Amino acid sequence: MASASAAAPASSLKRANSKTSSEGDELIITPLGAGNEVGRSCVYMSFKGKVVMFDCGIHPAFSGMAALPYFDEIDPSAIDLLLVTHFHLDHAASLPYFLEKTTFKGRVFMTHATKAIYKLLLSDYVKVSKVSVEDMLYDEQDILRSMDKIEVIDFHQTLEVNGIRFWCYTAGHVLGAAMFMVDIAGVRILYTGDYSREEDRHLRAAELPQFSPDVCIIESTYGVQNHQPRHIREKHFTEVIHSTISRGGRVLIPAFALGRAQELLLILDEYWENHRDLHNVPIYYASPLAKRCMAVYQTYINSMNDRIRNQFASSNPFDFKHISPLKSLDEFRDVGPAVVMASPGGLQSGLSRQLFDKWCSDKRNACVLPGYVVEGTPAKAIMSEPKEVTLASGLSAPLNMTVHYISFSAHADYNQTSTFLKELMPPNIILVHGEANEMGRLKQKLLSVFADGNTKIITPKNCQSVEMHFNSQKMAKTIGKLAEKTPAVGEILSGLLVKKGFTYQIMAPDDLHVFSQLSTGSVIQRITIPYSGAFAVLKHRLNLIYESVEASTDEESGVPTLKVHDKVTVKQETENHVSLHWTADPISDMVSDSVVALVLNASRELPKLMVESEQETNEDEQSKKADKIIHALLVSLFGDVKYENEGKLLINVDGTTALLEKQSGEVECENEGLKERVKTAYRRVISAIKPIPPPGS
Amino acid sequence: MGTSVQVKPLCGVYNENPLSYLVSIDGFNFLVDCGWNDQFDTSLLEPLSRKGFRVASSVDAVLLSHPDTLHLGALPYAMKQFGISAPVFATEPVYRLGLLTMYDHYLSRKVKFDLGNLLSLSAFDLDVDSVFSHCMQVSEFDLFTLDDIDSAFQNIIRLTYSQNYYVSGKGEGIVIAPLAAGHLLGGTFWKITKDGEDVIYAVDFNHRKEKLLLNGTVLESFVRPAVLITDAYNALLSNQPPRRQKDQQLLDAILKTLRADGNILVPVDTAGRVLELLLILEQYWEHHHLTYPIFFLTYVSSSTVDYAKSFLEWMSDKIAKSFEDSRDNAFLLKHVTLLISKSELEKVPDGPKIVLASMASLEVGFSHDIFVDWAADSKNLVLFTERGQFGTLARVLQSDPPPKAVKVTMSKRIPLVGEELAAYEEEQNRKRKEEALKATLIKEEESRATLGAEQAVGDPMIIDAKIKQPSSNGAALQHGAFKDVFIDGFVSPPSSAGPMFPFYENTFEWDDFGEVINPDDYTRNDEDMDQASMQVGEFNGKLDEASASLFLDATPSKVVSSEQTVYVKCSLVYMDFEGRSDGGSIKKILSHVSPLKLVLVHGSAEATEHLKEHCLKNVCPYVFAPQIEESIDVTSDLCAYKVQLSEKLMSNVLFKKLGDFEVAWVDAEVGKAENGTLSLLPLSTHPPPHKTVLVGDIKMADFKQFLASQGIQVEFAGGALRCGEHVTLRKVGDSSQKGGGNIQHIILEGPLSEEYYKIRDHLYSQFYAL
Repeated sequence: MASASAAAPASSLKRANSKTSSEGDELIITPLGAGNEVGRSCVYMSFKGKVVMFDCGIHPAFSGMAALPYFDEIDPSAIDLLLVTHFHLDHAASLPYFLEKTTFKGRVFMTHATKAIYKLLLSDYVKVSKVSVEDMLYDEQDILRSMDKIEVIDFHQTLEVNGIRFWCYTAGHVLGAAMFMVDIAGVRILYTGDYSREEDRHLRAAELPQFSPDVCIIESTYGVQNHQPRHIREKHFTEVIHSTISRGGRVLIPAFALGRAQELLLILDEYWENHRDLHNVPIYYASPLAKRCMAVYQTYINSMNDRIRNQFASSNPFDFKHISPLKSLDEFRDVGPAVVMASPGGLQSGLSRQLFDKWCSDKRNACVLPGYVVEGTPAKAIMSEPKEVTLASGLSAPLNMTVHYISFSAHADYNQTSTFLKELMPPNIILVHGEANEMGRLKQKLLSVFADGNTKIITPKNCQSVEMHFNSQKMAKTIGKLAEKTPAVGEILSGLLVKKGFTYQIMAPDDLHVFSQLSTGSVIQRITIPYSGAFAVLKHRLNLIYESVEASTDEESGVPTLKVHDKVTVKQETENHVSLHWTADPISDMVSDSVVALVLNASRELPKLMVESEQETNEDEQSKKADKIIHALLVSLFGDVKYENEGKLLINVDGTTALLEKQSGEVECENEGLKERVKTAYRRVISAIKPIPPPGS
Repeated sequence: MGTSVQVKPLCGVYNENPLSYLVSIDGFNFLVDCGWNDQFDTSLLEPLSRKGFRVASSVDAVLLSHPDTLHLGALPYAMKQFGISAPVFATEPVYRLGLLTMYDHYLSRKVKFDLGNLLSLSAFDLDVDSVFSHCMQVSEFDLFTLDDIDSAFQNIIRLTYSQNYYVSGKGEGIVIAPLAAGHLLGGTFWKITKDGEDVIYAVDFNHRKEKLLLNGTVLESFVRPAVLITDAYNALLSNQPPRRQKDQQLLDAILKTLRADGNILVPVDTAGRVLELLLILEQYWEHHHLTYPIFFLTYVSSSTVDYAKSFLEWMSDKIAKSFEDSRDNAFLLKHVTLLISKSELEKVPDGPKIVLASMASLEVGFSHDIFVDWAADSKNLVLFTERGQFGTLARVLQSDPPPKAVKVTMSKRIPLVGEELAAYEEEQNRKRKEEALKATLIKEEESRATLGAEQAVGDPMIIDAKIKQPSSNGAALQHGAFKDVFIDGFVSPPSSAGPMFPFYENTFEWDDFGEVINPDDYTRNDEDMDQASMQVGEFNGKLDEASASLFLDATPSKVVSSEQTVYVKCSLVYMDFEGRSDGGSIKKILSHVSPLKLVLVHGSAEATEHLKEHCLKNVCPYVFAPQIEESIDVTSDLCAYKVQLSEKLMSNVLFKKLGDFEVAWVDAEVGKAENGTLSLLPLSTHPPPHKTVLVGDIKMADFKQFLASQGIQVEFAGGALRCGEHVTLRKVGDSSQKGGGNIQHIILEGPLSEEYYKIRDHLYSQFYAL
């Protein structure tokens, strides 16, 4: 991974990570790939301690570790959720590596069709990629293991992982392609992946989400270019092929094995069906995956558009009549005109390259490039129609065949992108998946569209973080007994605040089990203490200590009882024992402890005849004593505290004075800060002096 | 106040009638399910059609749960006759398989085809020809037509599992979501949410993971919904044997009969449980290399399996995984032959075979015919895999002991003769005149109307013998005969296109010798041509052929039903492959889900009462089992309002984590936020004292373990936990009123000792005190 990280900017997300884990309101989005480039899509996002990653691709122009996104910028173990939009290599091919060779332990989701094709495609990728063994990112076994970890999601299905809610929309790009909407604590982020707003022969157009997202991470492959209308492109395509065949030439269509290839096959099959003169010209679909892919396409009919679904009612439209699959060139007899669709689309190696080398010097032949051509591939090189090309063998040959570029790639063009964004009106737009220049032009043009200035458009480079602040308002729902009437302003609300995921509820303790799976309990304690003295003595003593001691008799057994402080019941069980009953809570426990101590003390001191002094302390004395304590404590806190008249205290801190009314706790002070502090201090002092609130309150 | 919720059953309470209920949420009326029985008894729909209550017209949305007759059978009829025009919601499989089920029903009992209907039929690639020649159940079935089915289904809004659909307009704020019920493919329980309160309608769910087809229901993951509407259908069903054992029993029974040279009839539904059965059989045949033929015979069998192939997303993980691994679609059936007509079955050489045929009720359909044919042979076996609907032949046969003989109705279509014919013709003439008059008034519209409605609702067809078969040569005849759309009073020339722009895909099957030729096509064509040249009524063919061609012809005809007694000598076996949770599991699931209010529907009176009693005791204090048309109010008495939590307050709150939840005690002052909502601010005064709350659930057994691990001697003695020497711990739960008061009291007793305080500390450690 050394080569990859060398280019990375200094800011490391690992540190940023630890900072954001404290429930920060900062939404951080970092492209780890596909930032100002096409290939290795991978976008990292964290918000409120939740971490989501979108896509996990490789760069088709590089090999080995260099093709990976900048995974070393992040901590894979912190990621909760990984969402893969579609099966293309630049969106999914580093997934086995990420799942098997890193510390990632979150959950991975993709659509059903994507998962089925993912396996096919990657197994093939592993087989054909010509890298040395030590450069291999993963092997077939890793792919199989990764299959067990990948979970599936259906379009529109809403799922929740760790409080992250997410669902997906049709993206239209290839079979199973999805746009993911992620909702974390009410902030919505839309990641389009590759999408197309144009319905074609078998796919639905990308949907317009019914909610506007707060952030839209959108592809910008085609920048400000616009596609020709589909029927013109189709016409052009079939005309080129027809005329090449008429002049006895061969047509090579280098295309990615899956995705757009199926669309082209549908076009060709239909064209052949309508032109009887072509029936003797073979069409080959040359890919090792060809046959197995068709099974997938024949199955996931329900992810396609209505046209296909209606056709399916009579026959499967993917049972082609005029197209035969071709596993390798050995089966291919090169006699006379033919149409061959072969992978890969970039002419890097494989079948398409072999055919290209064979056919490129005959001027009757034609090569039709039907999709987006990645920078750095031989296909990109022949687009400029050079005089000579270098063959795979290293020799050079003249390029005589005609080269046509007719884009069928299902990426949104400028019109689609701008309309899509105008309808969604997201306040933040992040452009990814586009060459730097195209992206820059798109940004400028979009800025003029959203000239009102409320929309931010950002084009981060790889590993460049975008930070956004979302002031999330936490809303709670008060339910149950607490909500029987809506309180007026100024009233006090006390209850349990229960948080689950990002939802808050406030309820009375009694309702806890009703609205959550939690239950409340109570511990009733009964303790027996040996005591053989007179019960009246206990009563007398308790009376001295506690403000409230109620005497009564037990209803069942008729023994005398005392209720201390409304919490603890002392009962004379037998001559030699008393028992204490109370329901556990900190205060009752404390009271009971003191009662226990008192009882033990009383039984120990029993022989002595106590002559109790008249300790009926009067109110005055008590309050005086309290005053003294308050004063002493305040002095220790604020230093200069003086008695004022009418039971007030004058507190002087650094020249600022505060007047404290001891009875009510009112504070008069010009400085708000000091006022608060004095108030708080007083409250705490009072609660220290009188820790037990009078019963009944 | 909470959301107002009313439930009013329209059908299917205190009995096993089809399901149909009206659930209104804040005045927005959902019709959940719209079922019918296999006899299509219109009296069952009375509550829905009753004019005074305006039930049908008040429906704002229809939710369908399962693709079978009991849950959606009445939809086409109700939409047409009662004018329900509300949007209908279902999952994709419920839509598709439901549609096929309705087609199958229609075809099973309808012989009187209008040409218009045939057009829509052929779009589903049915071999119309064979449908024609072998309809045995002939009845004057005119409750609905294929067009009605199509129009009822075409506007269904299809959702996927756990897709949240936000209702707009009148029901603003309501969110509906279908969730897996586990009973049938695509089967659903519905969650209707408003203001955070869930109303769940879950009938016929299955918690068990199926052997092949489906994952179990996810109902258990929903706890404490405001209202749960569920069925008591299986409340009395005792626990089922393990699935493996059940499968084995099924296969043993099948093999025993086959080896004894007997035939097996399995009456099945069109597209429901049969899918699971097919997979079980297919797998077993594969494993044991059996060669006995299996036939799946419904009018729509091939379409059913084709669609099943494309519903992998909805099936169990196992099926999805096997597809990912090997690309083998589970429904590429190698051992099962799909048939859509009985003649195909008759062509099969004699010998032991197993036939899965619709309908499950044996009332109509292929199963009915085959039963009549096979019942008298003691070698044969009729294997029921689900309980027959109440009052059907299947239910009669399942009774214990099984009847020795049953009466069945055989219907045949015969031409009208004599007075009847005269009367009919007179009637037709009168009609024709009326229509002619109408036609002059509104030409265009009339032609369309006649095509669809007139003939559909109306009497036997009137097709002129001359235009019956305009193109009667060669293979084109197969479909050609139906290409021309007949419009009363107007004969379209054979070359002109039909007003419906029919589209045909002529698919030919090929084998090593070229196109597969069905000799029957040719023989019958000759006969047809003969008949075309013949005068009406002069039939010389066999009776079967004659009755078949009757509806091809325009011959005025009528349906004659005859009662026939069939002696049941074959063996009858019932095995539960219904795929519903059994009684014990239902109770367990209900007490786990523990709704605040429970509504019980669908199930015999006995079962309903039983479950009601059980739930009152163990689940929740509000259990309702409304009578038909009795509207009950299950509005939750829950109050709620929203407040904003200010940042200031939240910075001082310390949460304690308990599983998925985080809990804290708050004391706050209510204030107003800028936008007018209430907000909570920190208190400016001393917080009022509150009773301490101990949160946590303590299990005595776990606590015993815990204490033991702390080195304290513990044992259970007389329902109490004895800790150490003298201290006892007892749990006083309010088990008598679960759900009502789930507060558990733990009583700790003991003499004053060090041990007492030690155990108390351990006990406290199990709780969070707030």
